[in-house]
Amino acid sequence: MDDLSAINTCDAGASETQPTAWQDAILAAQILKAGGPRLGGLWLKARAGGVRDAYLSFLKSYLSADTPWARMPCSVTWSALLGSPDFTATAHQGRLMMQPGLLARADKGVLLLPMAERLEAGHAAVIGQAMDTGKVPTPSHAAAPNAIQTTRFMALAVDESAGPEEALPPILSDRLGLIVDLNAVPWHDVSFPPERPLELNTVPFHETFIETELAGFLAQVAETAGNTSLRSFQHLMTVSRLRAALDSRKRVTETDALDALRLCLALTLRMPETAEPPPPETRPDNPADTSDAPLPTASQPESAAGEPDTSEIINSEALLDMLAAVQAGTIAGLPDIANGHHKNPAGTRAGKSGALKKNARRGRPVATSRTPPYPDARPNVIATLRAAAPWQKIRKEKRALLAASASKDDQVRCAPPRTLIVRDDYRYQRLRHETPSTAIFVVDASGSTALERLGETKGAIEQLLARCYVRRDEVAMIAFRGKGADIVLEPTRSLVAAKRKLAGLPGGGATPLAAGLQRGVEMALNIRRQGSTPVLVLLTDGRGNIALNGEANRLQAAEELSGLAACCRQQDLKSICIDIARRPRDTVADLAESMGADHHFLRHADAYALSDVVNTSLEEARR
Amino acid sequence: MSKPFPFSAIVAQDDMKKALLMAAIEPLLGGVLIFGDRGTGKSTAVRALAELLPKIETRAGCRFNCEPEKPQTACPVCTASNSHRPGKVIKVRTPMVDLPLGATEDRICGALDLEKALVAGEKQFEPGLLATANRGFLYIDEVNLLEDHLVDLLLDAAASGVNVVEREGLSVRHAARFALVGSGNPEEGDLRPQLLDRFGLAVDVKTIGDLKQRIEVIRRRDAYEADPDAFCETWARKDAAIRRKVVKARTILRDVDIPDDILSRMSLLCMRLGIDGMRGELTLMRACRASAALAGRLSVTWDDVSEISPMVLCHRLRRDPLDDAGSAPRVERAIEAVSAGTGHG
Repeated sequence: MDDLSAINTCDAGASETQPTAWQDAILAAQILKAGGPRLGGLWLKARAGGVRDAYLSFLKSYLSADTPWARMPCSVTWSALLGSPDFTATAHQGRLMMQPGLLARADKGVLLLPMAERLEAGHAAVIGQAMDTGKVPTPSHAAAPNAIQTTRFMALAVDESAGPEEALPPILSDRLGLIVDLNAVPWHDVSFPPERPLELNTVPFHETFIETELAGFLAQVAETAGNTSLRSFQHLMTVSRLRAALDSRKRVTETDALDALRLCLALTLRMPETAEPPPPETRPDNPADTSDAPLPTASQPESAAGEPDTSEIINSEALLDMLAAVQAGTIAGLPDIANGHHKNPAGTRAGKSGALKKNARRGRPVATSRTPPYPDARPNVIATLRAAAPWQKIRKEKRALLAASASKDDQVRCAPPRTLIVRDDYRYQRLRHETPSTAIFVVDASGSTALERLGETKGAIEQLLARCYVRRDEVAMIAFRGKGADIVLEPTRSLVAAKRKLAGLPGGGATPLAAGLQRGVEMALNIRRQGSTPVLVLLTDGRGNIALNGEANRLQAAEELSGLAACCRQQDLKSICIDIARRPRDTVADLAESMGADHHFLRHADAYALSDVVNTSLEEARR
Repeated sequence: MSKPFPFSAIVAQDDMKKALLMAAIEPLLGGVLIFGDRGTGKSTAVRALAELLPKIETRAGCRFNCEPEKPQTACPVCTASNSHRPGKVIKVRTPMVDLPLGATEDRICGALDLEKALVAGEKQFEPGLLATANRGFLYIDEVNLLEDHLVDLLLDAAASGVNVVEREGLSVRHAARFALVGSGNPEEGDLRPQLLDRFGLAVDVKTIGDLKQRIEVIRRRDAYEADPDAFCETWARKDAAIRRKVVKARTILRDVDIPDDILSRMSLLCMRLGIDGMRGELTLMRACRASAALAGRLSVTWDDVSEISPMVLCHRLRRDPLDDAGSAPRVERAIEAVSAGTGHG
């Protein structure tokens, strides 16, 4: 019972009811401060807005003013991240001097990653490596004498992802101990704790302990929730111990464990039907919570937390409830982590416009140029010297002239260098590299095809996948059936993922052909924006009967379809239309005609021919 | 910097640990690929390995890890000339070089030392990571995210054991014999078959399912973080025991004998699995020797073969990209068939 009173003093105002998301966020900040880099950092799920800004500025001031706070721009270059030669200092000193990169500057502080969902996997991996080893990797230069090597920082990843297609790179999300979701926090919840109190924790972290049963329980819940990584389990243990330390307790209680589950895995029990009336702040009412996916504010497991006498029992019941709920899958948590379906980060690479990869980092050298093809490019020394050579005589004379006129007032004259190289002389090697293509399969999984040809179609796609794999192309898959279309597979090179998704593809239902095509075109345009070449492969029997809004309206569906087909043609997307009906149909031929697509017919037991067709188109698309 | 987590304190994951030790015993195996779930201690094990291994001899200031008796012409420290004597012989830790994903070509292969070139006007070679990794390990975390042009460089150097730099008016050759160690998560993307083939051993690590072991992992990790030095101290004896095993295995490795009937059964196994080329068989032979040497035995038994062959052969099978069952069961079936077949005959 003194557990409970301790909580009361800590979370004044939140003791009677479930802490709101905002209170959790404040608690996370306290724990982050107490835990420091050992927790990895904080995964802040929040779109831009007042609440987020308030939280970030609170965090900044809370972590004390002299904490370094390095903000990493989304399109950071390697040299900015890891350190680069400091040209001015180098010129002064006459030897190589480095300037620290962002990772080194974040030492003992915070590395803020805005728009973390757009972070490239490579960058995420390097950040992860730095977090693991406590050292800045030196990929481009051997360590210079003054280079800062060690770094221990907390990463603060601000994740603005809008849908399931976007997510934090799993390399990073696995290493961040705390999760805070501010997306559903209303402004009037925002209030800051008084300045003073939480410094009075007298129990040092290493004196806190967690009993084996409770640790076992945490392991069990984490594992059942699909979070098998030992890192997140470690974070759970650390957070629950820090939670206890915050309340000046040595023993970790069940409440701490529940708090840790909420803060580390965003696991919260959904509001039971018999819950207390909602707190004064108007939050969405209880049963509604079940439909909203990750509402971290969901509910307090202890429906009668007010009675101090039974707190012990109720708490363990709450734990059991939690475990049961996790096992039953009826928990508001993290669906993407729970399912283990990490999408491939290749699909969301920080996309630059421009379809052709002229300034590649690899490939055949084509020419030298005066401007660097990409940031960090290293000048081609020979070409630079060659460009400077003809000017040497003129420059030396000019320099001598200048020196003579300035020598009266300038005492310290450095010896003239052997070669005079100016900015205009720098030459960079340009490389050209063939861009990859992405095959987008839009598959009709409706009842009309499911009965007859879905199996065969799957077989054909599998063969195509295998060939795409050989050529290192990416594949994506969209399936439409019933009321709408789903992206089954984001563009990926991982054959493992593709196979798994394809095998589990269900069939049946109506044919929302328009929805499928719409998703396909959207994705194709997106891929093109990212610099890769899309090829749209539409497999259907052409009997679309569901409109975009999900209504069974053949007429409207047909109209929408022709609009989309025209759009497809207008955008000049390379596309292939494959008729998978039992007999060839005019509808598919017409659709292909209006899309400007190649039209083919999948004959029985002739999957090879189909895969040849698509293969040829992919080859053509590369040119 | 604090010491890395001790190798012997890593809970379970015996396959991974064994594979790493075997690669340390027999450098000709060609490295280890560790593929598996997140947070399973892949990087921890690799980083711990370097600490565990016996030190190597080289000369002070040498940046190519030359053996003292065999100086390389590229190395200015080790080659004696009229003006200076070679550096002192010292012992250094087995190199374990982390190859960061963002590495540039210059950093990997080495390049013209721009500082010297521009300041002093000297043409001097600045050795890269391949030189630093000579006689040690080159570790690539998230190897499947490595850019292709870097993979090409590595493959070339790993295959020949020599790094040849022909650029910017430089022409340098130096030894780059290292064991490649890669780790990654297959969900992020597959590895190019050429690179896959280059790894001698491939192990799949799964996250630990046992509750007690999971808790033990966290307890040890926690103890380590609270006081790294004291923790390493408590495990130092176990680490030393493993080190002795490795040292002993290295000395007896060349004397390990493979009986003819086992050798023929190995060939039979590879044939049955339809493995292209001889590299698979050769690696299997070497791996079995290393395994026997690790156990302190002087002859290879069939048990060695059946234990080792999955990690040698799985990633070499001609890949049916759509076979979901994975290749481990295929190898196991083949081993069973081969052992049964010879049992009768």
